[in-house]
Amino acid sequence: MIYNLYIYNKHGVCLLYHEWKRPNITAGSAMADQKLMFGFLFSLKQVVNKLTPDSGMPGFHACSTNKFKLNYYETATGLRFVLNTDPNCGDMRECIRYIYSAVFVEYASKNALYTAGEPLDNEQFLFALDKYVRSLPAFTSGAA
Amino acid sequence: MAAQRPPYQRLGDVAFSKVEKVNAELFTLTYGAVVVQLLKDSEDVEQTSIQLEKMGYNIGVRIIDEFLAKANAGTCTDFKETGEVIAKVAFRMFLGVTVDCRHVVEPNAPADAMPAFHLIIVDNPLVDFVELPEHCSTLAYCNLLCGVVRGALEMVGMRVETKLLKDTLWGDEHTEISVSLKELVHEQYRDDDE
Amino acid sequence: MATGSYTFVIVAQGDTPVYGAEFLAAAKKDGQDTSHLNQLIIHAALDMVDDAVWTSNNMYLKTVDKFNELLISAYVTPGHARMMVLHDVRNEDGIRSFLHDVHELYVKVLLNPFHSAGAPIRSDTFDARVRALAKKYLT
Repeated sequence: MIYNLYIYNKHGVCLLYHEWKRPNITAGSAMADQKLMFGFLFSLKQVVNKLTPDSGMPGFHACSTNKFKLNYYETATGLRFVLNTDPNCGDMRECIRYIYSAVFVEYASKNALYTAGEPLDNEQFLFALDKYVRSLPAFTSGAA
Repeated sequence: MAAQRPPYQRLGDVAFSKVEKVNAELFTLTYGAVVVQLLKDSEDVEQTSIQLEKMGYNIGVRIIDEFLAKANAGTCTDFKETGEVIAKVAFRMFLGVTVDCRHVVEPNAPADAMPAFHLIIVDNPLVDFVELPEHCSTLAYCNLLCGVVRGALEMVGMRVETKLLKDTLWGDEHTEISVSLKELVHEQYRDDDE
Repeated sequence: MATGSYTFVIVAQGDTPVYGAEFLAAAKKDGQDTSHLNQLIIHAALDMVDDAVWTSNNMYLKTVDKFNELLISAYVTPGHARMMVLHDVRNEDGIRSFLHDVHELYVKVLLNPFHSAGAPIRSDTFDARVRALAKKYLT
């Protein structure tokens, strides 16, 4: 089951938060929720960098608890994609890559009217995103 | 590891075969029309060159995501590799031409000098049909390309300086762009609370 | 092939001359400057060209006018640019090939974004290439 998606740019601005199903209701504002998530990612990344042996390529892909799994993908341009799912969804990195290449690039990067750093409220973007996510087998799995 | 990777040449061909194509003449003529209109509007050769570079920059900051998403070029370990990827993959993917990348080492540069490379474009599709008239013989007609490279690299944390060194329109035998690294920019975060 | 003197002019739409060149046979440089006269003759022949355009499907109209021993051949592009050659010897095939190749060069000039339609062609490259063609076909 797919819960929600966050997209941040390299300055930590939340470009998009989209929710399909949220297992718990957030206390506080959406803004606070987005900042909390980014703070978590930022700290986690620092930890990961510190823990990574030698000077190899650090980077984390996912982390999970018994109730949910956080799938993470970061591009070289500093875009961060976070897709939260239930813990049994398997590797979602290809899906996030697809969202990056076929949705974000096509409807945001290539859209001359979209200014980098602004919230993604383009209808075509949201439509394409929603259509793709709903088509994933993980979207319906485990929905008991 | 590096030796096992497919050569960038092939990666570029693959990327090129995947992207949508447009008629080369339409592209060349469109670019020509844009340049001439800019020149007419600003009535200043120098300004036009600067403006072209800025337009290129705006393209570069967008095109980089397309490149990363579609080209599968992997992560570069050093600036030298970046040059190779730009020359062999990026130029091939977006302009359909392969470009040579020459690494430049200043003869008596200090050991910690910032690296640089030159991109050598022999078959530049932008300049087909074009001949600079006398009153704008100094126009950096291909300055757009400099901007694209600068914009794209800035988005991946490399602040570079680019310059059009040679151009076929200036009577040189090829177009040459110098790209020199100025600074590696690390991620910075804004915090609204502070 | 006979050597003769040729005067070549391109007249763009709207009757503005955009390019002109003379290729004189070495022997005929007798000091008499006839270029004014030649231009006048070519100018006078423009009307003949405009009439001849509608009688032929080809762009090459062959000889359209005569003045004493001088002949005028013309070639009209689809964009109605008239390329005219004033010559004093018969050289139909040479002129045909010459005009055909110049047409190709002319198209390239039009594709140059810095060239505006109807403006005189000042490009040195174009001039050099036309002269090379003249050497090839008209000597």
